[in-house]
Amino acid sequence: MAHKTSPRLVLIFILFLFVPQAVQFSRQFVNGYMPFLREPNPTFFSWDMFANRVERCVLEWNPPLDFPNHPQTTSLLQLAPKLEWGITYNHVADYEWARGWLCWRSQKKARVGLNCFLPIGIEIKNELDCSKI
Amino acid sequence: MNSIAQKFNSWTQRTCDRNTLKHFQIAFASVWLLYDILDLLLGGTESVLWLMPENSLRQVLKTLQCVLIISQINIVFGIQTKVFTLALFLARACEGFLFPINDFFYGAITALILIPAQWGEASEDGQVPAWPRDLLILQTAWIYFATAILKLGPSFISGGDLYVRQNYLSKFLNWPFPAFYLKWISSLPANAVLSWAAISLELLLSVSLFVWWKKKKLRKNLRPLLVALVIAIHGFAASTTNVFFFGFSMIAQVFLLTR
Repeated sequence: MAHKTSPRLVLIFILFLFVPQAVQFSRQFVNGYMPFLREPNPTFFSWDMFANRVERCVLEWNPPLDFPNHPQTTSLLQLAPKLEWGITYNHVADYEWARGWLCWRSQKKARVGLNCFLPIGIEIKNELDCSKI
Repeated sequence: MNSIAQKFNSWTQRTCDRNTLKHFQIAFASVWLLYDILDLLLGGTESVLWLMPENSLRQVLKTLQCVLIISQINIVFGIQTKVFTLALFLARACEGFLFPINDFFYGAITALILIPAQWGEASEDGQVPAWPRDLLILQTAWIYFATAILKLGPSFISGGDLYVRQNYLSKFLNWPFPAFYLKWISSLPANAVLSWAAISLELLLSVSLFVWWKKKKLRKNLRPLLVALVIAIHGFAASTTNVFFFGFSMIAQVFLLTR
């Protein structure tokens, strides 16, 4: 006979496993998620992969800047492996914040371009001259 | 009430072939071992910290990655699997807490379920308790169900999410989409069709996994459908969202645990 586990122990294990996940899934609804009306928000263990609203951008700058292990970079794409990983944020505002940081890092000498795809089906592009902010 | 308790007791006493769980455990550890080695060498997760070059989290992350790699090497070679499955769970959970990525949550949950799979010894005819295997199946069904329900938000069902992800890959990562497909995904309605297809397949896979667990007689007939669905879902996800390792792991999970 195979080793038998106490049913009580199995039940405790199942509760420990599934209750937090059920709570996190429910929290999505409590926090405003409505199918067809409002997107969920990133929540631990709710399995919301690809369910949150995303805006994706690329930042490109000139002159090049040095980063640890990445000398003379001119784009966010050069700072991470392209397959599987990559530096991404979910909102244009976060990329804009990063652009402000790049301006500070370049001592206001850089020009930083932002190119984004938005979920309303459009692409936007603009460029910021750091010396003018 | 008594009947529910009896059914539950009898479920915990069911057995399955030792190799079912063992082979999945090795496949799971192998997939994520490769992920962690590449992640450590290429600085994938670490790149999230690009705005904080001096952050001490880098060292914490590297330490966790080393623990993960060592644990998974030992699991692959069957050395002290009890200890290293626990270490894998703890390290992955810490990694997920510091870097909240669904891959890490999945890795932690799966390692957690694999812990009781190590309890006790197999019988002489190679049988082990089946409930950890069943939990892995039900967990997989829950993941597909929950993610399908949460994808019913307006930006996913309108096709906006796939529009963003696919055009980002095409334009910035030079993803090799064929010309006709590229033209197709430049519009929201075409992406909406793909989105609804993804949600439908995920729901179908979730229900099918549940039926596989519940109806023993249907298992043989259901398996080809389960394997086809999981390959279709993750083949599509890999080509449109740049997520590979999670897909490999889920395919291994469905393929090996439903044998």
